[in-house]
Amino acid sequence: MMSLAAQKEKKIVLRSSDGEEFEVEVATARQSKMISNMINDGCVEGSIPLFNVDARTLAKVIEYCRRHAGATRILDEYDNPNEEIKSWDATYIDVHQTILYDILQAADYLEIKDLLDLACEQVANIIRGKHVEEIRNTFNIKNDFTVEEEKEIRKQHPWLFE
Amino acid sequence: MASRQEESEGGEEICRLPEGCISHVLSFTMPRDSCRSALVSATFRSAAFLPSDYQSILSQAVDPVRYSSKRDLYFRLCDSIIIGMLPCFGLERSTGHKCSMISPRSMHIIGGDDKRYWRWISLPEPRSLEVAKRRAVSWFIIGGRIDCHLLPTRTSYAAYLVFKLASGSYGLSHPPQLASAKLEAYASEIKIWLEDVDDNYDSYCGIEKRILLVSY
Repeated sequence: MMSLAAQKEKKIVLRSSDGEEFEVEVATARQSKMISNMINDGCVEGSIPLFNVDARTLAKVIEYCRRHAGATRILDEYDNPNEEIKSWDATYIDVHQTILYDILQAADYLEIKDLLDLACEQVANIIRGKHVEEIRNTFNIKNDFTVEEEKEIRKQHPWLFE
Repeated sequence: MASRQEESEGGEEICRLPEGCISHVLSFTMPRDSCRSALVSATFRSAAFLPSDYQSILSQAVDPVRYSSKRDLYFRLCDSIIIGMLPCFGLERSTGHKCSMISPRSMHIIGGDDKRYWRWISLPEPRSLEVAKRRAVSWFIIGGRIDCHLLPTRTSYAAYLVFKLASGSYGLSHPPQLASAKLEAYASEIKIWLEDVDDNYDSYCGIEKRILLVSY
């Protein structure tokens, strides 16, 4: 097992789907369970190609991982994230919806649980308290129920449409 | 105006999220929001209503359940599957509530083996099932039991009788039939009408009907 200092020295290279390369510290890369497994299996020679993440998103994801690497600095005495990191997270995730979904998908693909939770909670905040039509409009979702299905649902749950 | 445009621009993209992610998003909302979201589109509904233990349900399925997406799986489960201890399991289409059905073969049917009274036939739809068909006689008694240990606690339940009337059937509108349900010390007894005189008779026959016997 490498010492933490040695891990910090060592860098690995991540290549985005559009071909841009990012050099990151091992501790940062290990925030992703997927990459961490690859490091453990010794298959990180050269660069790691990430086919599902473009450069813009990868830069954002690395920003998060870098901030969250070195867990001791971000936890309070009860092992919960401290106020400083919570406020950093809130600012970090306050982005346009398109970028938000990119981050969410990348976190899912790279298995970065905390980032996935953060992004999902942000989308949930947009949904919270909205009515059915509002949700459809906000997310531009096509109503794919048949007329009969919708009629039945409206009959069974009238309060949900109020 | 600019922000509105921006909103709808971003909005087009939520549908590209994998259904697993949408479920994850909905797990952060309140139950009421989650219910509302379920009415937004069928994809959202399957994400919101697929039971959280669906993988454990699938692992108990007698025949492997194949599905292409969670939405597909939701409808597969609505069509009923056979899992270990519960003979016939499915999700109620509009609410996603879990349903367990006692197959007619494991019910207690007085005279069920006597060909003069009951005939066993196979119904392909909606679930492939062998059912008992009543021949014309003046009385019948049927009963079923379910092991309550199989049911999750802190949940409301309702029991239904599911049946079809053959065309040309008669005599079930009057007098009413007696139905009862028991759970430990609690017992209920109600009158039911298998043949509903208010319904258009022709449209009533051959359609699967369910009568609420009791709800807890």
